[in-house]
Amino acid sequence: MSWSTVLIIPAALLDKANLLGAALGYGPESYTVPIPSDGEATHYGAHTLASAEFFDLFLAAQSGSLPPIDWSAAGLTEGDVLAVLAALVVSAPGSPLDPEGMSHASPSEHFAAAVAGLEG
Amino acid sequence: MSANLVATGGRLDFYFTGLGSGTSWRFAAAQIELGDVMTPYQRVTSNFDITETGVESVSYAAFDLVDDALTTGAIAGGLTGQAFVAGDGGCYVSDLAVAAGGTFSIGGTSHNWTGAAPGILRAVTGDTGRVLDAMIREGTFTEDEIARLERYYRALGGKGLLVPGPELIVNGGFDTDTNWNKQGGWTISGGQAHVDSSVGGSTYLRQGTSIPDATYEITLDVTSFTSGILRVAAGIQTGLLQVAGTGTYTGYVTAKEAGGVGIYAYASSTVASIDNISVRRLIPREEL
Repeated sequence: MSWSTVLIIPAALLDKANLLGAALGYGPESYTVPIPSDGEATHYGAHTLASAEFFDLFLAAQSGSLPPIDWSAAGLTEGDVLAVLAALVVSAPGSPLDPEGMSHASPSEHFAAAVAGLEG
Repeated sequence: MSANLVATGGRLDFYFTGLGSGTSWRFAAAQIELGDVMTPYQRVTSNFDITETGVESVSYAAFDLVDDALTTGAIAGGLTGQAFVAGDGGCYVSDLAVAAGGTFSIGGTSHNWTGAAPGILRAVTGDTGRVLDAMIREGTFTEDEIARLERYYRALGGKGLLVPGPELIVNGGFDTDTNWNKQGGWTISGGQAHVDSSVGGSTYLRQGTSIPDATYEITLDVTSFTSGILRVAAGIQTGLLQVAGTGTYTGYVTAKEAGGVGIYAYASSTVASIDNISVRRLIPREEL
């Protein structure tokens, strides 16, 4: 089972968020959508279909239980990881993170709604 | 023989009567649906593997039309040729040049592929994100090859080659100050349209009526550019193609509303001039 998931990170934390994504095995550049799409980006976003394992990891990390990763080898400190997690906006309606959330007609509509929520 | 379906404690049981002793029966393709109208049988192996009676099975890559992208490995000798991409919305052929050691990519935040204009992936997939095939080759596809590929993908539920329909813009060369719906800050003179949005704020220049979910091929020349941002728009503000400098631009914009097609001075400091705008709806050629 997987859920449409939008992740948005403040631009100031983009590098560390990408390092965290790489450390978790999602590749070097997870956040590629500048927000807003014109002018200077204040945030960067990503869309993915995330599994239950992702949400287990995310919820555990939010409560302070980080996975056993050599953060220094990944170019991060535990403080960096916690700062990214604290600032990360995650929208995943219907997932374990938001079981009552209403799904969207398409990933692009989901992304647009998440960005609109950020602006609102 | 007759069969009864009984719900028992969250489980559905089939009960058969009239089976003769010593007779073996094969029972398959059971499908339980709400309501009294039976729909074609579906075998659901996973969310991404569903087979329906009467519907040809297809393999596809699903792009989210947000940031999903696929990139080939390095193409050692490079390539000068064409790309053919088929999707739910139609097929499209574009020219392609890949330098030695370069790659070919499809998807990403510009919703296109290497060598193709921004937004084309929305048109080819009919906004579903489903790509049935993407192939690249040295040299050009012949008309016969394209026609054969079209037939194949139409048989799988896709559509034919996407081609630009009739020109929708009247007075795209701005020869006269007519036909255009101008908001504050836009003027037409000297065979061009000029915008200074510090006069009227973020405003548009447009005409016609866009059709929701239709994709338009828009080209224009930006003859001068001082500051700000221009957006090519179908509907009011749903443009994808952004312009921030002089040159000739081509882009594909999928309308989300019926608001006309044109140019939107997005930033309140936009100062620019444009000429030779063309807007044509992209249509599978069998629907022309």
